[in-house]
Amino acid sequence: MKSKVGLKSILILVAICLVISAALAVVNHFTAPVIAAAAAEREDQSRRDVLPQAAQFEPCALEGLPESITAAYKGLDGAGQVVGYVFTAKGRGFDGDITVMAAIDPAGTIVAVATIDVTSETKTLGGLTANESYTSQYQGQDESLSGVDAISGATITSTAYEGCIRDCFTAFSLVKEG
Amino acid sequence: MKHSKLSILIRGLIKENPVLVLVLGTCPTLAISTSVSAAIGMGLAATAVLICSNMAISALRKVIPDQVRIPCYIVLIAGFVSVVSMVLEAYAYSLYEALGVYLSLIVVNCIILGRAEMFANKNTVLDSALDGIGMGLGFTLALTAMACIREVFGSGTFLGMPIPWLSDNPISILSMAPGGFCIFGCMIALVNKLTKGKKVPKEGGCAGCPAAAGCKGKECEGK
Repeated sequence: MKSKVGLKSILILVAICLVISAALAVVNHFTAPVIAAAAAEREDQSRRDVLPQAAQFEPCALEGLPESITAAYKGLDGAGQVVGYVFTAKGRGFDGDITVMAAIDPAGTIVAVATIDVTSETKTLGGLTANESYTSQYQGQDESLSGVDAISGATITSTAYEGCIRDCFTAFSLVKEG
Repeated sequence: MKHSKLSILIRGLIKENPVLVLVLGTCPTLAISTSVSAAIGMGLAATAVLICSNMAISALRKVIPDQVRIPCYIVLIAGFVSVVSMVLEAYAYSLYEALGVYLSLIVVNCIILGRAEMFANKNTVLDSALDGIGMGLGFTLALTAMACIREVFGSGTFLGMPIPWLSDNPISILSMAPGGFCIFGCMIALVNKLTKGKKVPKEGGCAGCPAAAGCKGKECEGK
């Protein structure tokens, strides 16, 4: 029996595709705003986590900053004074991109560092950069990062991480006021 | 041979457990069973898709022409998975993150396409829904059982909470692929023993077999 795909079959397949697409468009219409709002809230929360002294954040222009910087914010306290800067940087890790966030105070020392995304790295090696024990090393460091130890066995990830932080410092020197 | 409604529901749990007896959906099983909470989440997400797709395919079984049935099933299943994915991203972000790429991979989870071919396109909507519930819960059960072993002994935690002595002496290999395969094999052996190694009965003789189109009934004669 010759198996020929008849016109009826094609029409039914197209009809099913159209119905499913319409259904997806409807669901997307309702969920997209919720997803966007939740994502913005998570980003804001991570900024507040690294720079707790800030009451609000103002975005800074990205032109002129190193390519790896994906977001730059000025942290202001209640009186409108700058208490620090928060930068998000993306770097090439071992098996994918890593995203790191750093808060630098106006004096040029790190307030805190947060690992946003290292899911591409090996969980038991590069993935350890997500731990408190690694990120807490950065507190109080200046741009030389002299007190920071890499994770043994995870050289590529550690180097990429430090590179991201150094780019944050470069961005800081370009963005800071006074 | 008609099955009673209850037997359709129950057999997916142990006797014809999709993961441990039918050996379908092993990829997400091995990948997600390192954490109990992710296992339960994945199981329930796949169950939701399985029930919806079984019902939809059963409802359309007289409409969908045989020649294009696979593309049609895939579009339907992909549609349901997309809906589940959007809903999870909006309302249960931590589960969405935990499942990662495996959520989208539910589309090609063999359990869903397999049940569509083996059951949904030959049975009523109600029977297909019950089959979906049974198979989905069986998948969740198998996944959770494996996750309990792998999370407790492999990372020393349960649902994220560390267990006193075990979290300091984890058997890490259980959290990785080799350990996963070992546990998987042991569980298949265990279920085999429990069901006394009965071969999965072919429902309705040749009509229930996926190879019916090619073989001429000679393969299973006498079995």
